[in-house]
Amino acid sequence: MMTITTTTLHHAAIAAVAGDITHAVADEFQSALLSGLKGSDALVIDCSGVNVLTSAGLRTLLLLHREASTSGKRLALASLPPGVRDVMDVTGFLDQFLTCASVADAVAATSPSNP
Amino acid sequence: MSARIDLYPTGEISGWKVRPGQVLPYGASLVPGGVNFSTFSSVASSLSLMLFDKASRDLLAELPLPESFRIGDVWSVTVFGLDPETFEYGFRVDGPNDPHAGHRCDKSKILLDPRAKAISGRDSWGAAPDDADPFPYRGFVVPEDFDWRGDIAPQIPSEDLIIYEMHVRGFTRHPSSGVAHPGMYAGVVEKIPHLKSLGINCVELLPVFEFDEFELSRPNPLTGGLNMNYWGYSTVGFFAPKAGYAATGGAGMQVDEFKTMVRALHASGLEVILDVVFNHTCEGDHRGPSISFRGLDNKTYYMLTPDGYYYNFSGCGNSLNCNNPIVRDMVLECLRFWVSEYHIDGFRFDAAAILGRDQWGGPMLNPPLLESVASDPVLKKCKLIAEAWDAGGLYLLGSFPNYGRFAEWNGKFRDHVRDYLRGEPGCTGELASRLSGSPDLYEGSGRGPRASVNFITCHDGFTLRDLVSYNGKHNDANDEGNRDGIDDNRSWNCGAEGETTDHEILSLRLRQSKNAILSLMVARGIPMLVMGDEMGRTQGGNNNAYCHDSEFNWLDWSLVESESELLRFTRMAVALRHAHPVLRLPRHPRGDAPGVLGFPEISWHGRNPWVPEWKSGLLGAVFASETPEGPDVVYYAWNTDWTAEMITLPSPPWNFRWTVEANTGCPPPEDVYGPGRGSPLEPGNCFLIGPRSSIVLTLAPID
Repeated sequence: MMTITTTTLHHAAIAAVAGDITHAVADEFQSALLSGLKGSDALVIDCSGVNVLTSAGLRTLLLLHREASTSGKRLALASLPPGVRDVMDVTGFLDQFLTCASVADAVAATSPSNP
Repeated sequence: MSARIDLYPTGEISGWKVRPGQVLPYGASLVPGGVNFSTFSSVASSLSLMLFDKASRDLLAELPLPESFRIGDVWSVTVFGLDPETFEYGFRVDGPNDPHAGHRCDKSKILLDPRAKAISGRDSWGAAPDDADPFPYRGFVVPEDFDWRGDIAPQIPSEDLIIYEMHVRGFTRHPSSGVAHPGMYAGVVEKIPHLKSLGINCVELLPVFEFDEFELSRPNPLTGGLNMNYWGYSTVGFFAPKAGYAATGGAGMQVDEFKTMVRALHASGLEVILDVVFNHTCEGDHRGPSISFRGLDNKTYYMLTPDGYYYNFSGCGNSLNCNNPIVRDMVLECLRFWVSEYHIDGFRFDAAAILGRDQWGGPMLNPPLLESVASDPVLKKCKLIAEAWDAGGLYLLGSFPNYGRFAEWNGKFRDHVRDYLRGEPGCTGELASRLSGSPDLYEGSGRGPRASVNFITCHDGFTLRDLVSYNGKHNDANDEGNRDGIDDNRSWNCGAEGETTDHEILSLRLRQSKNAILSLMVARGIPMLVMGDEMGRTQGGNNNAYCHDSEFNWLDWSLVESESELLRFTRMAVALRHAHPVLRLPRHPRGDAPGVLGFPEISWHGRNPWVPEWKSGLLGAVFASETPEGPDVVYYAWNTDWTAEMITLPSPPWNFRWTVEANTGCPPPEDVYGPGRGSPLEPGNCFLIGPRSSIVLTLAPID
């Protein structure tokens, strides 16, 4: 089960994701976040409500990150729960992402004025 | 839209939409919209795909495959609508059950796919298994894509390798390791700085293919714990990494974690060699469980006696029939898989003599498996290392069918250097052969010293500290009445058996450890150290510690402090080897070949230069050659006698002098200096070599 709530703050689309990001919801996750990315300069994914991030979920996240980079946009992960962060770390995904302690930090970090 | 025109269901089995599958590749593979399964059995009269729910472990469905889903002896099916993250699978095979004819099909069993790329059931090391589970090891599919980020294999020339043999769990499981994930692949990554500071450039991992640490486990009344299969020399699945070594194993992400470890090791310039066990499987003998191979096609996978029992050349109940064309394809595919998918740099083949036996166990002159491995294009740059013997008495050291590619664990190096180390008379000539890269073993086949993996200790037997602390094995904790483990240890306790507070004995043990390490670093060939030998790890005299998952086997990182003298010496001795290419040349040095600066490639010396005393306990050697980095001359001497000896060094050429690089007879910091920081020898060329001491000097121009 996964829910995505999208809002906007300054230049960034904020997608608050809650629940399990798995293969079963990967397509839904990808299309919702891609549309968030299209309308903004940056995408901040609020991960505070993420319970489980599976192999397929991680790959979807990385593909989104690449998509953002290709189109010159920024993507940041905010408020990663420690368990999820740890899984990303030991599977070699974490250091590919810009990660921030809070949504506010992520918005600031993805600001166009922030080189 | 589907990417292929044939990816649509053609029918339904047990409520699942299916079509005849793609025959190759074997195993379970993700395809758009579903999962493809394919497996081989030459004896199955029927075969079902068994699907289980991962979370509940309940059977989801049994899909009996119709005859039309079989091509040749291969059954395959594509199942649509399967969520790859929520199911596990196996096979049920019906067919002949006539053990004396070699057939052991049993339709009451659910069998693991031999090609399963991930296996659940032992996800969390040491978690008590459910003995009532009829299907304890289950295959599942994993994403095979991985972002290697431009990973480049270090491709270190063999002659420049320094191997560090380690147990993934034992390396960081001890509480003193201080890592976030003790005992895991991720833990290895955290300790890369130690490996780098040691100077080794290759790790050789004890088995990491999925195995069951609970196989044949039993309570041990002496330790109060369980005797386990801690080492892991008993494969459950050849294509799956050990899940219990992954911090993310419970989440089924061991493949990503393993690859991340390899990527990190490579990024630090370290190669990764896997210790692989193709000589037998975990299914044991005729009393063993039916887990995978025996239920699928017993007669193909195993060497069987004429009346259907298992040949036991492995000492573990059965022997994989590895020169059978089908089995050798599996082994070859497996090696290719680990190289192409996991970027593995080489393999050490456990009890590899079995890989040269035919289906009746007879040694083959030209074993097709070994020939295939040696000539395979994917494996072309891999290091291939054979343990050139087996438990059936086939001993092929120096004569392993090598095709110019296989190196060998040099058991003679271990034995003869141990003999010299303990002061056994009459071993000086043998020491000279070992220092030269064992030309008696490897010159004839033209392989040279690169074929010689030089070691004094390995996981099997004493640690280095125990080698100098015990005269005999002390395996009581194994609860086998001290009958297990070899008796031929060639060890010497330096004056007291085991633990002691006698300062002189402790000091001698430390010196003997330094002598051993220095000999490894000087000898031609590929040196191998065992995890912890750089800092005096002990197993309390146990020379067969396969069964202990405890502090007994875990590396105690407090040794970094308490054994800092040996650790410093080892680091410097490793650095000495790296700094002197003459020690690493890929050919056997010859006494009749011109070397450099007036010395032949190798010359032997005693108390007097140019006069070796082969019956004494003192041997001096000068290695001298022009190298890609310039002329390089190294003098090495080892006095294994009780008395100090005054030796006269060969005269250096004009405008050169000897520089002391290491002298185990001195306390630190004069025991070893480090490259470029040696101590020039005063004029006179005389040197007092202490009792049971070894020295290294190099020739350097006078400024």
